[in-house]
Amino acid sequence: MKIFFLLLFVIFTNFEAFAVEPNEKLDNEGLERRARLISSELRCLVCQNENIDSSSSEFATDLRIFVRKKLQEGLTDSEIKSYLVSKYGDFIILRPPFKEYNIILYLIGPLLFIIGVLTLFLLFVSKKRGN
Amino acid sequence: MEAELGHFFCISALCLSLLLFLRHSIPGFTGTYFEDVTKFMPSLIFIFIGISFFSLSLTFVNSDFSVKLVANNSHTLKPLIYKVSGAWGNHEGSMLLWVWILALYLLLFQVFSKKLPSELVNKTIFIQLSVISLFLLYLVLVSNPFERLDNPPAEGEGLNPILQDILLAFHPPTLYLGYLGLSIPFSIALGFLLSNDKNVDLAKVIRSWALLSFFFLSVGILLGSIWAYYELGWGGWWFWDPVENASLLPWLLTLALIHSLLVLERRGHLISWVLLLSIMAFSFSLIGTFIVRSGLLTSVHAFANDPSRGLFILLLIFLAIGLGLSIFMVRKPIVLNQTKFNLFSKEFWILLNNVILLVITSIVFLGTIWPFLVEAFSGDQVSVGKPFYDLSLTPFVIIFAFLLPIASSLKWNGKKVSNLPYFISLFVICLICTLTFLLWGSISLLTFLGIFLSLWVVLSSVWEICKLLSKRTREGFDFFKTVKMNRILVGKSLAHAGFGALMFGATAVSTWETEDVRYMKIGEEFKISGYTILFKEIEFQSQSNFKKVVGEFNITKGNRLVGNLYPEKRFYISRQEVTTEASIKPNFFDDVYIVLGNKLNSDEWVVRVYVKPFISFIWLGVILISLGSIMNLTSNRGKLKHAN
Repeated sequence: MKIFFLLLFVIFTNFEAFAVEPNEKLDNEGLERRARLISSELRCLVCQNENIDSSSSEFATDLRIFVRKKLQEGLTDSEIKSYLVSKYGDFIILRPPFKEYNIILYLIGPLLFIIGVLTLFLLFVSKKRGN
Repeated sequence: MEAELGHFFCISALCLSLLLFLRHSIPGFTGTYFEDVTKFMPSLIFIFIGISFFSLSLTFVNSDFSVKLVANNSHTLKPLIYKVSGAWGNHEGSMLLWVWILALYLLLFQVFSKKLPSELVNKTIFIQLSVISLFLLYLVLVSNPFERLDNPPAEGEGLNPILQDILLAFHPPTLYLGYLGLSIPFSIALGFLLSNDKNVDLAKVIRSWALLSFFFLSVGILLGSIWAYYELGWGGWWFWDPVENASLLPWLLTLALIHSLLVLERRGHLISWVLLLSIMAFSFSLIGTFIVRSGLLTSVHAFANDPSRGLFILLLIFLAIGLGLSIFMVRKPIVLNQTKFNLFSKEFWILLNNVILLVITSIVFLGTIWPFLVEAFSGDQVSVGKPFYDLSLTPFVIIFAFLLPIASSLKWNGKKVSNLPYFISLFVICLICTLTFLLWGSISLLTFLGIFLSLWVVLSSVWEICKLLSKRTREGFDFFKTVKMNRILVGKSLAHAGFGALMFGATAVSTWETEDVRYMKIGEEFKISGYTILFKEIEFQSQSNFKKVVGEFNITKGNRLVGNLYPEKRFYISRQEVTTEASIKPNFFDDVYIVLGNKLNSDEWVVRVYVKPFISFIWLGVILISLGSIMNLTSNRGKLKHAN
């Protein structure tokens, strides 16, 4: 019986918010779409590897509402993001900023690709006349 | 009792493998007498660890809470299947399964290596045994699954409810079959490097093990991905979670290995490269284990958070990889003449494929460990997530997909692209098909490229199969015989088409997915993407280990009933946890996905509905890729010489 009441308590109270709730949504479709896009690039700091758009935590809910509020105030996407970075650090952005050591992370792919392809062409392609 | 039995056989297996290890490493031990005895050793080790594993499963089935592992991970109210899968749903148990599968592969290799030179076989078994011994040592010394508790609790702590799932019960064993299948190419490569007798068709020996591993890795990843799709509540299918990346890395390297093996098999080139890839593929399986098991990363998967274990595993991996690479450096075959290829030969384009796959592997690997590197060296915290991978991988996937059909059609040692008109017409057809998508509305450049390239890959692969089948019709048409005779080529084209389908599904879902979240009362309905969703009823039910609320929704399209969906909210009594179970109506063209949210004060509920176009193509794609690899695996090698 105790369990039953506990169950009632858990299910009938707002035990968890689950991702974007209907009351969070903005009426302006364009703004809402931008809010979703920004949310998907922000990390939920109290979760395990989740963005705030799909997270059910209180932190994510607050941040989603904050992003929407700022959008309604007319801030641009990058203004909102850089404000959040200044408040929470780079950790909150799921795409590391292109600066300092992070440049290595971005360049390693293209560099390896160029080196690899060059090596192939210089060392492995046979000269037609030689054949 | 079972626990002690299991522990006993675990230690016995360690003793046996150490004994066998000694007999292989000390030259004096190689008398014929020992030959006879040691022949049965791999089977014995396999049986011993098997008994050990079954004992562990028994303690789970019997809910013997005096065993620490069972007390922490099981519960009397759990259904039998999840009690059994609970045996590997935790750190110690999964490591026992890990070693057992290693032993299974040792046994399989022994059985299927009758025709190979005995020196290679012995040395391969030796390497495999070393790996097994290392992991058995780890099990016995640091991570004993059979540890008893002095004061056993009356009830276990239960398994994490979101892990109580049939797909997830089979996800780890399948993935392990893939990870550890790669131990055989690793051992063969090192065995080959250590052998003096190099007179063996290495490509043929490694090939089937690589394909088998690739098959299991693909299926394992697929199971995990489908599970995430319906369980995590918003229908994502790939999250770029470090643990997912850990399984993607060996998959990518095995893919590269399978392709370069073709060059070795058909042209006899790239032997060093193949050896290196074989070593690297298994190394990344080990690194993946380290990432998952060390507790360095926090995620659903990291159930071990004991630093001493992390350190032990790290040492183990350094030992295995370090030794592997050193043996490679010292003993790698010396190629006197620099290999040269024609620009338009298949082998050169396979090398291009390898370069791109390795670039993708490097990006994923670096992205996965980047947060740790940065934190270790500068103390800063950074996040590397989906937006990063989307940005940095997309260009390479585009190049890869564009080159694929051309590479696939080139001839071995070919000198030119012989079918240029065909490619030009294929290009035009794909372009026209993609342009018709514009009739339904504007699309981004990336979506355009995604659709174009998936068509480009799929159509060319289908064309390859058609051409193959039509060529054989002159000798009398027998569909199954033709497919059977050409399993390698049909398998190849199927796998390529699967890649195209996967790309199409991924593009379509990310572009055209629609979503609605709203408050609904019973009896209300609304429209989304042509479907009408009617909230019909809500019901409370009770199961053995949880209680639940089930909503009933009718989905109609026009006047036709598409189906009923029953999303749930569950309350797990033993853990006092609430989970949401999405309900999905899968169709060929789109999935309707409903999640039941919270109840409001009155009789309103939060209802979340997604329509996901073409998501089935993602699963279909991976299934085709797996099917292709298995067709290749079962092919009759003798026929290869005649086919191209």
